[in-house]
Amino acid sequence: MIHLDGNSIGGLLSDVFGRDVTDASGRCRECGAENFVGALHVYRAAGVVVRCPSCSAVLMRFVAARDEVWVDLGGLLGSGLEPLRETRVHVMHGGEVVDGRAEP
Amino acid sequence: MTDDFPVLSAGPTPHPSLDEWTFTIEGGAQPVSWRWEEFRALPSETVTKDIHCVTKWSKFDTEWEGVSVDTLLERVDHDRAYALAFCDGGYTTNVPVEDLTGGKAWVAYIYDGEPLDPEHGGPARLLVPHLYFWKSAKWVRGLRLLDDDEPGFWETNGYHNYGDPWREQRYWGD
Amino acid sequence: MGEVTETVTETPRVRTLVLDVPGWTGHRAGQHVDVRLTAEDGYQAERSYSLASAPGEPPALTVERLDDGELSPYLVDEVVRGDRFELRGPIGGYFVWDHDGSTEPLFLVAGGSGVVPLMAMLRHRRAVGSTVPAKLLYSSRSLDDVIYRDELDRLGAEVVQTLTREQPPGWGGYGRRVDVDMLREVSYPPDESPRVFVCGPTNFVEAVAEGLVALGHRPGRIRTERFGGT
Repeated sequence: MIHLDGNSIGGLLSDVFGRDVTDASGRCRECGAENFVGALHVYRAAGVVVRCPSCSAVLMRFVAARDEVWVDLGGLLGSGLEPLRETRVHVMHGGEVVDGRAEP
Repeated sequence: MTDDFPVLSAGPTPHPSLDEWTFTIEGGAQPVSWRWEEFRALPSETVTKDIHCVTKWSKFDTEWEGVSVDTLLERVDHDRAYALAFCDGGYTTNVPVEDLTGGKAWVAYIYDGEPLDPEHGGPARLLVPHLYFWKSAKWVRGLRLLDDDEPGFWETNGYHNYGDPWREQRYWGD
Repeated sequence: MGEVTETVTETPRVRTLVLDVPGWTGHRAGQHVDVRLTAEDGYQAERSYSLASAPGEPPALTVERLDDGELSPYLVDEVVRGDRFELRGPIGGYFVWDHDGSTEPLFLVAGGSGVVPLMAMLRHRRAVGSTVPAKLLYSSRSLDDVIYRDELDRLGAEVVQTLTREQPPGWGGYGRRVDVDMLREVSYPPDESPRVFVCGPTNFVEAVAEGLVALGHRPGRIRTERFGGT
């Protein structure tokens, strides 16, 4: 399966975070590998799946539809990334919408 | 509309060895499992169906061969209402049991007369043509039968829990 | 919205569109834009295209036609001066090279139209008069497929080409796919700490990145941009 680099979803990411975050870095919850967002592996299916280049664990998921976007950052640690507090941005954790923007 | 169906995957393509491949149904009185050659020896059906992807393409008259989920569940003693399909690579998707039974769903291993290739979900994928195609999980390895609905990989992140293309149930709120 | 002010045919399959984008605040070398086209029935398709021009120049996209593509046949064959389309950008802060005073050599590896963002870097380097050593290893199928062919000699950088399918008589460059031997011969040695940017189709990028790591380049110094199918 062909994957792309995190860089390729810079537009989607700036929609969610309000700024370019491809040069931010974060750690994989599974294996601890630290990488720039721009270097993460991106798969496009029903939505966008961002995986760890080292162990393939799911770090982030995005589903953009209509003018809304569902965001799950549950696999990424220490990135400091904060989705915009806007009604069109739904921050998810464990299948539930969460209010807090801090890491669960 | 499209002649080919695009390769869309939530992750790297798994290449399981057929020697180690099993299909397992959990959640009945006991788990029931088939090895690859046992699975291929089950009575199969050829089905010709249209498929509908959320990314708006549809493909008509696709031809598949596989085992009806009815055939699989004959071996399982259960009264559960929901199923969660699980796959190599960790993907899951939820489907009510009544949408998997009554000739509505298959575990398919042949597409257009050829063994299903890994990019398109081989060795076997779930085929639930009356729902959106993300429910037709690639690389499926089994079903977990449940009393309560448990949303799968996409259904926990914005995708509609049921996914009926005729009602355009794509996303939460549709 | 961007308005096409000029089109440049680069190869039979590749065209550059120079754009006027109201409110454009400038871009960095290596960034891209997302182009969105809406069909009459409302169907929308969006794709990313790298910016080819140097920062400070008007945004220019160089687009290769993919025969089964949704957007590229239109952008390469149909668009004329004065046409407008929706775009957002510039996007990206990872696959970029800035003229920031660092002296680390720049090693760029391009497969096909992967040369586009790397060209923006080389044009930027030339425009600001940077003395950072720079080398481009550029793989194309044939001479007819070489994008920016005439400009490659005028970049003030070392350009090494390989033609993988067809080489003209007297060709002085390489005539095979990029491999570890070629990378060893062309790249700056790892102890010179080059900054490496690799752009091209997924398989190309994988092969080059693996080859460079095998030669001792630190993975963290290699930045990649893959592009997939349609």
